Amino acid sequence: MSDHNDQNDNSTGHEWDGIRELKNPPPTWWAWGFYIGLSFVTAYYIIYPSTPLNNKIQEVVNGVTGMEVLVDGHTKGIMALVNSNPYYQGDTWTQAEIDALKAKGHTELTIKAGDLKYQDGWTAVNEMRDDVAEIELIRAASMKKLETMSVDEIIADDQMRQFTLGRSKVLFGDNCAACHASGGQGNLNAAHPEYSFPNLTDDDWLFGGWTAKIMETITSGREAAMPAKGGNEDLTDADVDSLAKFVIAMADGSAAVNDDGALTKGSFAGANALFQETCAGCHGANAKGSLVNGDFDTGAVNLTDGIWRFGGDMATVRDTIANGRVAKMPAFGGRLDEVSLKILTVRVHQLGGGMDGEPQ
Amino acid sequence: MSSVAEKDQYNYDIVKFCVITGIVMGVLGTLVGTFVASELAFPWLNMDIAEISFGRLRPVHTNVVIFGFGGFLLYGAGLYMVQHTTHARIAFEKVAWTGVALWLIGCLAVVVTLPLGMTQAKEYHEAEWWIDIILALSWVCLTITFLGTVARRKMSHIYVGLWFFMTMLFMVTYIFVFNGLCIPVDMSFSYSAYAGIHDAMTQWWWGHNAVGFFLTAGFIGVMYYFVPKHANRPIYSYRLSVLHFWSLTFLYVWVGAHHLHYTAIPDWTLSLGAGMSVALIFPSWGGMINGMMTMSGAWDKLRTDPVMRFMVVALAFYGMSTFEGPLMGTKSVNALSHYTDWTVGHVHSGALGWNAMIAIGAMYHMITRMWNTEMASEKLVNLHFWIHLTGAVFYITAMWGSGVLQGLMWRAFDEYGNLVYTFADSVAAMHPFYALRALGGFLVFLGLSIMLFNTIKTIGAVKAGTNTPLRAAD
Amino acid sequence: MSEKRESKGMIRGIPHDTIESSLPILATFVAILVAVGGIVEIVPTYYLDDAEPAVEGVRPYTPLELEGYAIYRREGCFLCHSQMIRPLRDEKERYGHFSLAAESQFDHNYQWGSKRTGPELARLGGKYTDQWHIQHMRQPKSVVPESVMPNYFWLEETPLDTSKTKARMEVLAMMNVPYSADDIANWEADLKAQAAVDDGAGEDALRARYERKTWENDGVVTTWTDSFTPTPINVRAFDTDASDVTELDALIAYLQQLGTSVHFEEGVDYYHDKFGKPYRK
Ligand code: HEC
Ligand code: HEC
Ligand code: HEC
Ligand code: HEM
Ligand code: HEM
Ligand SMILES: [Ca+2]
Ligand SMILES: [Ca+2]
Ligand SMILES: [Cu+2]
Repeated sequence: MSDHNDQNDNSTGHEWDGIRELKNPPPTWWAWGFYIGLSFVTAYYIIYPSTPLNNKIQEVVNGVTGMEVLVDGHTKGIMALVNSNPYYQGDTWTQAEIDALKAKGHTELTIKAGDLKYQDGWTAVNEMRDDVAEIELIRAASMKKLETMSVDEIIADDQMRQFTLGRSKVLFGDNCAACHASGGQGNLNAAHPEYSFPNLTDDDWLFGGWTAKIMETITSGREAAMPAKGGNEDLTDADVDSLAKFVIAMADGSAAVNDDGALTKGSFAGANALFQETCAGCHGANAKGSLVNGDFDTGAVNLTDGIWRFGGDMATVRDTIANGRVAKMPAFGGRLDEVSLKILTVRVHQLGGGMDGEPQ
Repeated sequence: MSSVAEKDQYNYDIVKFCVITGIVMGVLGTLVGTFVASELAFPWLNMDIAEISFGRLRPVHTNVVIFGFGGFLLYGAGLYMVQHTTHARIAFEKVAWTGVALWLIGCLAVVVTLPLGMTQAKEYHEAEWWIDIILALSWVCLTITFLGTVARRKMSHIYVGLWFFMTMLFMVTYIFVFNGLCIPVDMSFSYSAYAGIHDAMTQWWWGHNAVGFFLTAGFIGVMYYFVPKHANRPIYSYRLSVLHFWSLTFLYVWVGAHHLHYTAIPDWTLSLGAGMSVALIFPSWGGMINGMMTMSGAWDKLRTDPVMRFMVVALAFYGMSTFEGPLMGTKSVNALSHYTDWTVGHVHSGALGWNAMIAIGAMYHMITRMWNTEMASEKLVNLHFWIHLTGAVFYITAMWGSGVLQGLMWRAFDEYGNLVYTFADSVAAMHPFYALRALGGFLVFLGLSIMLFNTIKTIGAVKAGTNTPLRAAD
Repeated sequence: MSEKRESKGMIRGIPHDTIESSLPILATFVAILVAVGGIVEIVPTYYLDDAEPAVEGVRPYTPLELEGYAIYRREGCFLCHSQMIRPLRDEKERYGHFSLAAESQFDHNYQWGSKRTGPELARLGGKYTDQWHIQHMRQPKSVVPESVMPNYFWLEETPLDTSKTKARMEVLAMMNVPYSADDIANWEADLKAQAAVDDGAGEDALRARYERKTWENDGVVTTWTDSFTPTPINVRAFDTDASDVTELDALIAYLQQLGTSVHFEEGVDYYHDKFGKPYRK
């Protein structure tokens, strides 16, 4: 036999292409580890939810009172008996809650008032409840304060303000920075001006830098539309050109209009006439924008402050006027909770450009 | 002892083809790997070309290294060792060649179709349905050849290496077929037969066992031949072989769920996966111990023989990644590691440390035996070892660093209970690690290129008759 | 007594000698043993009720979203992005309510991902505006300087290939996705209506189809409660250009509905339904 050798050594006596195998036992530590590993799984499967059953077995189990705590289509693990989670221990269904569910159409409920809510031992979601409870405990004091204080009160309270700024950093970074940049300085996109996002750190506002307005903006979102040619189809390319020159001149100070729309500086009489006719409706006769003129919802920008929302070079301004702009700020009301909205408001207000007092 | 006459009967042509193709695939796969790694470090490398953007190229990397490099090693080394350990020439040679040809066609089809965006979007199973069919047919050919050859064995007992190879052949057939079930829309698109949680479970039943059987059981089988053969020592413990073979075969299958910890998969499934993952440490280590202890009495070879070094270091990495894996298979560690680069680090400690190094060792061994020659340059083999090891260590440590950092940054709460880092902070923090990883990858690629060069020179010298004939004992 | 038996012996009472000397026996054992784990873990998820608790609101994709999903798949977005919020407190804070099994019940295949090079996207819908997405897909770094995401500017330049849309819906309807014959027949009108290239002509019909409350597939009927209002379908020129339907229209339509179909209510337990069973089928 080619797989047999006569060497009287510790080998099994077999040989393949010259390879023999010895009769050494596995190392003791390995054998221990191996069996401990197997015992570990067994124990683990008893402690945690593990074994799936089938309907027949489930039926049998259903016949035994008390077993529903341990088995529900699968074994739930004996952790279900030692319900040590302080957060949900004793959290029971109330009749009101059950009625509410029934009112919503869940008519087949089998629960009774007093049933434990989450008595099923270890589950991933129970574990989360535990962890959340832990963090909520840490937050409890500050959360209670934040819930009751108004945004203005938070800003006035030095300690709370600092605390809120710390807390809102990630909230702002994960939700707002994609548009307004991590520092809130916005994004003036030279290559694609239509995708520019406003700067929140300066004191130039579209919809108002008072806390009430900021809160409104974040909660409900905003949409501002600058119509093509200000909505006046009759404007010629030459008109757009001269309006653009005029707007740029107003921004750099070489032209100015007073509150009545009269030109006080620069030689743009023709352009100003067009402006008063077409644009003043939104940007105001003084071109200082809707906000300055007391309209909080239009978002027509101030054209005299030299701060550009989309860019102040000739090409961009001409494009703005000729083709219009639409921009939207998404609503975060449904996504973030009340406290988060509050602390974001504080953050935006404190970025540098916050306005004091009430909208006027 | 096999006689010279018996050896002459072996079909080496097919093995030679597989080994050389495998090396080429290794070079290609690590080149693409280095490129995708660089794309994450320097995103401008995406160059605004759809076909080479990260999302399309990453699966080219994984498929070429696993099925190209790993696959051809398994075909080559499998067909080599099944002949050597049965003392029989392979059965059904036409079938075997068909299998090899189909595998190559499948791999090339993958390389062409994935950049074009034809993907089933299942990890390591990205190739579209018709390529799956090519690969599956190839696998059936290999299985037939393998079993046929074992049936022709000249001795009563089947060698332990062949058990492992067989368990791979069976399991990979199951998982590849079931995970690939789909309904085609056309040649370039199909929908998985499963949805949601069912698809996820099937995918990781495949995904994990592609690792557990293709990259582990198959490679362990290879190890069981090449380590004792190269060291010229007997296998340390037969009883250990038996125990760890059956336990690995049974347990590995259960743990796919650890890729889905804390997801919407039912909790009981996750526990099944977590428990078995931990229990797997020792069955896995059985292979490492049997390999390492086999070296006793031959440790001096490590000083002189870089091929031996590849194999032994591979075993060490195998031991390490099969310790790390079970650790990551527990729920609490996985909560941190999942979705991070730690997984990628773990993958590559297995892939670069274990799979690549044992493959390289086996390939050098086979080249010298089949062509009956020393390598053209022993120095280059030695250089390859050190470059590869350095590259692998750079890669793995970089990913441990980035992975753990990433995981900790995502979950960090400050003393007041607020999140500390934004997601973007974590992206920015990855940059140095990604650069280091790309460097490590480049070294590995460089090493394999050296190997390819050395192999070509070696074969050239044999053809020219200027080579040094093999000095080794048999 | 044979020498072999003597030399190798029994392993804990198992005649291993016999097993390893016989290819059929060895092969049979292996073939059976490797099948066990998978069967135990996968099969019960099909029949156990609480594997995928039913929840109101999850509907099949509209034709346009379905095409967006195909682009998401094609570009390999899932290799950098997950769509699976785990029940961990940091993910709850960052991304919102954890993902429910039912939310991916119509995803052939699932898109949970295994690596977060970029952020989790399961509840992305509505977080940003279309305009932001347009700019972000063109050049992510222009809006997020830290980004390592590739530019995908060709998407807005490529008209959507709709030659497969109908076939896609038909294939899905063959599985568990409750597209009706009517849904499939109107795929083109619905697709155009959603991208607003039809001047609003088909919007009402689209809404009637995809905001409905009764879904049927293969005799299985799912009806949501009267008090439940399905999430409105997004209808608009997603790439801001209503003259044609591009790949970007489809992709943004897909992204903007992610995670919006279930209406999470304070106090309702979407997971532990053992005692309350509110969401079980
Ligand atoms: C998808 C992009 C986007 C995101 C995300 C976003 N914003 Fe905005 N935001 C805008 C745009 C665009 C405007 C300007 C609206 C306009 O011009 O109509 C704006 C305007 C604002 C304004 C009004 C500025 C003014 O001058 O009146 C505030 C305040 C603001 N955003 C705060 C936030 C906060 C806080 C967040 C995060 C919760 C946020 N934004 C998220 C795009 C975004
Ligand atoms: C219906 C109201 C409306 C009319 C009429 C209107 N605008 Fe506007 N304009 C806006 C709004 C709103 C914005 C800001 C858009 C935004 O933030 O999305 C704006 C922005 C601009 C900007 C961009 C400034 C910057 O900072 O980049 C310019 C320039 C401008 N308007 C000029 C004009 C001119 C010139 C006219 C007349 C032809 C005009 N607008 C008529 C509402 C209007
Ligand atoms: C190379 C990895 C990579 C690929 C591939 C990739 N992304 Fe991203 N993605 C990122 C990173 C990093 C970020 C975070 C920075 C940013 O916002 O750009 C991100 C952010 C995003 C966001 C913003 C999410 C949020 O909540 O802020 C969206 C949406 C997105 N990606 C969609 C996609 C889509 C769709 C694709 C495929 C067409 C894709 N990504 C492909 C890496 C990638
Ligand atoms: C006992 C052995 C092992 C166990 C228990 C194990 C466990 C794990 C775990 C828990 C993960 C992470 C899953 C996730 O969070 O997404 C993982 C990922 C992975 N492991 Fe292992 N591992 C083992 C050995 C190996 C070996 C030897 C390799 C060889 C290459 C390997 C290759 C991989 C790969 C490729 C992935 C990535 C899967 C993905 O794409 O997400 N593993 N493994
Ligand atoms: C030059 C050497 C290599 C480099 C630079 C490299 C690089 C990479 C990169 C960048 C990724 C993507 C990680 C991410 O998405 O963040 C990756 C994934 C992967 N690579 Fe490699 N790789 C190399 C070699 C190999 C080898 C030899 C193998 C297998 C035998 C391998 C198997 C894999 C697998 C399985 C994944 C998927 C991991 C996952 O899904 O988690 N790689 N590699
Ligand atoms: Ca501003
Ligand atoms: Ca469009
Ligand atoms: Cu695994």
